[in-house]
Amino acid sequence: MSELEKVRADVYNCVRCMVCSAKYNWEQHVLRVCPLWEHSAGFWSNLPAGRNQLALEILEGNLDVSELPVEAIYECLLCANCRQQCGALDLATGKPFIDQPAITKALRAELFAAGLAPEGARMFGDNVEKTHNVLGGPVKGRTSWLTPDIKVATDADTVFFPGCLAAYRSPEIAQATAKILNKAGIKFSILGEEEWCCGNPLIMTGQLRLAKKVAKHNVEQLKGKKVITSCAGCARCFMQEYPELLGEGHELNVVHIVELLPELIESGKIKFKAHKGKKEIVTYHDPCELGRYRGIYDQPRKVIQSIPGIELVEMVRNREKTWCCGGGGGLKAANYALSLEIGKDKIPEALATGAKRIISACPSCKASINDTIRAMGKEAEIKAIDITELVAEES
Amino acid sequence: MATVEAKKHHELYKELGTIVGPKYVSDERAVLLSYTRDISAFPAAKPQGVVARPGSVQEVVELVKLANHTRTPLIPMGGKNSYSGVPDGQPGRGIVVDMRRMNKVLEIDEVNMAVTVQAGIHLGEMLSRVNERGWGVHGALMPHYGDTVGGQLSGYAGGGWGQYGPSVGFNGHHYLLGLKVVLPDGSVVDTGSGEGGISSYRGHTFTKLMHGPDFSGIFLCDSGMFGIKVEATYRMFRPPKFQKDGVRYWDNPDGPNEVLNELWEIDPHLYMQPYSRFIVLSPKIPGSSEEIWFLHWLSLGNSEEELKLKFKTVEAACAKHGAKLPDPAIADAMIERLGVHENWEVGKLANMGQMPFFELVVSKRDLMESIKWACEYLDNLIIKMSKAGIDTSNIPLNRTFLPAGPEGIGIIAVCPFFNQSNKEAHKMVYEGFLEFLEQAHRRGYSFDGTHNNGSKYKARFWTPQYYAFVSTLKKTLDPNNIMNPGVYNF
Repeated sequence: MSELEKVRADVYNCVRCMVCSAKYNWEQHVLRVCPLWEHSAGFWSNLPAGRNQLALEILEGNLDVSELPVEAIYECLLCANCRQQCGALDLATGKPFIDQPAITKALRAELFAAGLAPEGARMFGDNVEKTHNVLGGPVKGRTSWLTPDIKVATDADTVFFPGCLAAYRSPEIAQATAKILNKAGIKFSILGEEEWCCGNPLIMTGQLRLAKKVAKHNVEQLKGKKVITSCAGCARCFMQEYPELLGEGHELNVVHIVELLPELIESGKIKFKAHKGKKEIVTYHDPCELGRYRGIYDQPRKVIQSIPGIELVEMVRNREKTWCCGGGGGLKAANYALSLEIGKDKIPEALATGAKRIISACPSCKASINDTIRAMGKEAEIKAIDITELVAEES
Repeated sequence: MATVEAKKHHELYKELGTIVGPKYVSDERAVLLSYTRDISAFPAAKPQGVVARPGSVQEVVELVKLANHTRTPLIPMGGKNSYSGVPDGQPGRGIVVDMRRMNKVLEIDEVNMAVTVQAGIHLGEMLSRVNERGWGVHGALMPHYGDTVGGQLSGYAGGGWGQYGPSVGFNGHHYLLGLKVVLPDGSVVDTGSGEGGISSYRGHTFTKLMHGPDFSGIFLCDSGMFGIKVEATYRMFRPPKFQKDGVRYWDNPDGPNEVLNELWEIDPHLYMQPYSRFIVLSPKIPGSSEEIWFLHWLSLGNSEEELKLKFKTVEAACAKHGAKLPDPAIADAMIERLGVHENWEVGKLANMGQMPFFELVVSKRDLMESIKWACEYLDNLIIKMSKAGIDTSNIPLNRTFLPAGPEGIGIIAVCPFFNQSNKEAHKMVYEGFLEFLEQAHRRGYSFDGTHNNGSKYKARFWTPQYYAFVSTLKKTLDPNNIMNPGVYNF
């Protein structure tokens, strides 16, 4: 069965009402739905409903995969704002009636299978084939984030899975997470060189055969363990993509660190430093893969609000309405300039809160937001950090 | 050795790129295909030759001049929320003019209570922008987010909530102060006040019809055959501060109609307020014969006392005419479905399937007769589909009437929601829709649908004299017939 066949029902469910082209909403004044539509040439094919129609035309036999506009398909952020704002629910199941990100991923899979994926997307696969990480870093460098003060067990029931980005690009996130776990007395091991890419970037770019291979490997390594990760993408992939990819029964027992932190704070396992004087204002950016995909909005806020010296001020678009950082869906590899343009919409919202630090819970969001801040020359005014860094710093 | 053929572009690809910027022109087949279907799910049009997205009036002017010079058809397009198909244009050659880049609010003039927008703005955005400043503009029942101002004015100019209750065409008839239109020869005309029109109006007191005839009307409901609308100016108003929804039901449409007739006679008019609304909706539960007619209304007032008084008056009229009070959960669901604010969004119904609205606009005198006829037509269509072996249990039906008392008209919409993957249902609904238009016109009812199929049917029923008059206008303004050819059979 082709990937498009699997989403046939979603494709035919879309009635092209074009709510996904909305820029404003009567009830939620600040809503804008599709970053790609706003920042691209804006043809219908750049819109979620337009891409759905292209899928329809293929299923109807009116269009060949080779005729698909590759950029429009690969520039989607998979931020799921369209699915969220579409709001149409299946009356029988209560689930989203049209899974637009799934349709886009299916189109990408068809393009990849036809050898038409862009180079930036293929690079992910090449890197994973060669080095088991999406960035192409050396296999031996997988654990270079470890510092001597971090205690790692060899035989623990819990495995800390930092993911490629934290392991290679943002070691400070991996370090902060490990230190939090050490402080809380949670014994954990790591997979070391056996930690492979979770497969999320491969699935997003249509490379399903390779994604299946890495998923099988990771399941073999992690089965029966409790997995803790600080990567929103890895967590979502393990939970939502592995059962799709490998079939039922391949779910992993995984939590993102923000799901664990409230419990650790409440039980007193993590204690924050006392604070006197004026509080620091911070704001929180909801990663799409934690928020819209998994509904995790309250936990990170609870964590931030429990830190004595910190005051959380929300951006005007937050939670379900959060504007993507610009780094989702592999866009940075497909079109870096466009990724920055989309990200630029977020910075004024963050600055308006009075915050000098944007807290997030995803290495990819942190990197994308900081890239945008640099591109805007706003480094002196604001920066992004991970929630684990904030907790490690304040505890 | 294999040779790679360079892609052959549309004959005007380069020139169009010079006008609107290369980024905003595409002749990729897939991109063009995305412009071939509207919301109706009726057969897709054949793709045009190229699409261009102008960003300014000047770009539209140059684009129109180029098209005129080369005799290339233009197919202006807004939010694709039409119900009767995408215009034919000239497959393989025509230029789709995607207007949604022209989506700015140009001026909110609070002193003169007017807002001027570019025609590619979505209705929802225009309303949100003025609402941020505490103003309202008359919207449409739906679509709200998908419809552009230009598209709506080219259709029936907004059906839904008028100042004096639900109405049809109120945007055009009452609240449109003027238009800026690029004519088929590339010249630009401002309609509305005369004396320079909109551009001189801005910042000045505006009095419609003071300086000469107002020709805005010929561009309303024209399906874009007389020119491309690039700007529009609307009257704004202050929305009332208090509102409350109510729902009652009957097992037939006569009850709510009697209530509405009674309310229409109250003077001063009970719902002579923007946004006040009454809508009667009858969902027929699939697989059962149960049919319920819900009356949903929204009372508004500038004080709590005013609101209470209005709400109680409607409640009393409902009670007098035998209304039943629904279970609170059902009432909440109805209110949610209908939207608690001004808009009744198409998307709210999207999970019921594709929505081919069989929509009539009839005189108040014909309201009940036409409702009954439309419902019967729908029932017979479903029976016919069942006899043809189609499983109709998963085709939810909706029957709506929106009485517009002060306007003396009513909007009736019956809709067999179906999933477009059901090819047999699709075919029969489409054939049923065309037959519905035919029969409705024979009965003297007007129908919605000013685009492909709808406009062709409308024109078929024009008198020879009226057709000749419109034809003269068309030939005068557009001698080369480049503006949306095919609509209204021109």
